[in-house]
Amino acid sequence: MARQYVMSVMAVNRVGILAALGTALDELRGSFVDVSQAVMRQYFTMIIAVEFPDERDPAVIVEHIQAVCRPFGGVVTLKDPEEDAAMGLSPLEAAADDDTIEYLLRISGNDRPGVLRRVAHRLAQDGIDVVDLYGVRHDEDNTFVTCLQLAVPKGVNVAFLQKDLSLMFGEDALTVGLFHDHVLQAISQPEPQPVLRTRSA
Amino acid sequence: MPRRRVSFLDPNTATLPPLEVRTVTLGINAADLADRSLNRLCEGLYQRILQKAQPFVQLCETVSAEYGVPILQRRVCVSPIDRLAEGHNADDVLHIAKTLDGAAGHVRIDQIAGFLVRVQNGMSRGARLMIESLPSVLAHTDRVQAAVEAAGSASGINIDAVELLGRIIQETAKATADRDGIGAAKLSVLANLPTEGPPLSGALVGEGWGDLVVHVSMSAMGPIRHTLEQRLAKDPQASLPTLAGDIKAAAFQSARVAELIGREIAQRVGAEFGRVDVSLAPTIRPGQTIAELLHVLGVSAFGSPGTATALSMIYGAIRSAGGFASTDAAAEANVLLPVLRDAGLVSATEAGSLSLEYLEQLSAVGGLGLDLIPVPGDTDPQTLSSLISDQLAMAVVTRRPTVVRLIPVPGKQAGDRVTFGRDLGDAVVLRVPQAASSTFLNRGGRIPGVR
Repeated sequence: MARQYVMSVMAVNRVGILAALGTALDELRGSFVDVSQAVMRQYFTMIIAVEFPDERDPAVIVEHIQAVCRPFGGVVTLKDPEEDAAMGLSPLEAAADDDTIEYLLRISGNDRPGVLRRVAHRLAQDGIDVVDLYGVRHDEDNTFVTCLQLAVPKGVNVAFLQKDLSLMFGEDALTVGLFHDHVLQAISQPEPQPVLRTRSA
Repeated sequence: MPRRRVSFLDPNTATLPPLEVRTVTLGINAADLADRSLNRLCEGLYQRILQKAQPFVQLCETVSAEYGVPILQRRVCVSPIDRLAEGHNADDVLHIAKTLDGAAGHVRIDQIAGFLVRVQNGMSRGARLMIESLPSVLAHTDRVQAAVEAAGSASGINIDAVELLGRIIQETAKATADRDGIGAAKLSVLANLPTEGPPLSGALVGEGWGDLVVHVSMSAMGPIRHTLEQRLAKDPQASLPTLAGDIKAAAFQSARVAELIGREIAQRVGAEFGRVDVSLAPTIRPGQTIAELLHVLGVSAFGSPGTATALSMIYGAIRSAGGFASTDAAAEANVLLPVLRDAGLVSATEAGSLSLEYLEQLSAVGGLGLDLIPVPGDTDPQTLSSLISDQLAMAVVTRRPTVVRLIPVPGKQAGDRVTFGRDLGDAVVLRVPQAASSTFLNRGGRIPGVR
């Protein structure tokens, strides 16, 4: 039997770090389930959902990965979802895919503190889950762009949300765009749109 | 796993064009409602429209809000009114039209079409009666759009019908003289009407469809302008092939969004999905006119030399984009040049760079006929017929669809300004060339088609 963990690794980015990490996981008989990796400035960062054999001790896993990453100044964190659940730290039940619609929220303009806080509060009011977040600040002209991938529960008035966000950030001269994922797919991919089979009466 | 769209982080190229859908049209089959009893026929029509169009209107709002894509016009096209009205008298035809208008108003749709008469080969008694009832029909209704197909490449031009229509257009304008002759703006004379849809102005929903079909029209003027402005901001010396590619990409996105919205509405309303009209049309939104688009491309004034060349580039780009964007793109795409709806064309008319003759020529490079053109109120019916027949003749030879909507504005002369309000806007009355000879059309009959 295998047990799933969520692990984060952060280290100075150098050629070979991913190979070293992969080797260490092999040695522990670990297997990727889900992975997200990015280089943030000069740092290699990785978040992994990973499976290890039941008998593998979490402390051994952390120790081994840390040893591998030591030449890169690596920091490793391992979370056991079952252990957290036992301590009453269960996450909110994720909404089923059928109950939500994906949108992309893009905010851009002059950089100022508090934008993310305000938008996160507004989204939380409608029970909207932020499933991905990325962005960049341009130091040369002090502007920023951020994109939030949202899972919006069905029934939320998206037109009202868009208007509300535009009002909220309009006075700061920020540009807000909320795009349905299907629209983005339709305009950015050459594949034809799926056509449901219908019959005439 | 979410799909990261990192291109959106580029502050220069990330903003999306202003995506919207120009029209969504619900086609309702009403053929089974034919009845000798006028009351039963009208009651059946009214109830059928309410039953089908009410959820359609609601769904247009829901889908538009959910996708964040505005729908500029919602239309219904009932087919086939000419067959339903066969055997009824002129008063009955007016009653049927009022029924359509009332139902359209009740469900809050912008236009109702299907009041079509097809006489490209010959005129039945019923067809003549319907045409002769048009001045009254268009004076007493607001949302009804009427159309007469008077020519086709195979059938030729029915000159008898064209001669009659010159008189009918003049009478329609006079019947609505208190509103600057707006009735004539709702009467289209057509050639080579595409049979599969989507409906040209005031025409049929298409043939061979089921009981309920949804057609859509893309709105590409805004996206194309947006894309071109972004390109020229980055590269003011951009070459024509580059700009043609940009137009194609923006038209592709517009057609894709129109198809997405149309399919969603069709599925939810329980209708077949019909065709995506990838014609380029102006809207009443600021900056969304063909003249302004050409200005962005570098054509100093619409109607000046170079206009046709630029128009042909746009026409080629939208046609190829439409075909690639959707397997259900309509076979015919056009560049709509409605003088009334296009503030840029109005400015060109005022500046003297645009004439009726030049508009006629543009149908050879994608222009859709003479659309919504105000002409002097005292233009005689024979001149109107001659203008119509010239345009139909070009369509017959080029084998493309055409629309002629001429509005003789009572009491106005060439150069006068006229205001129609609502979605038609302002315009300047165009000068009409004098008809030199009147004997040609008087010979009557049908000019054979082109083999």
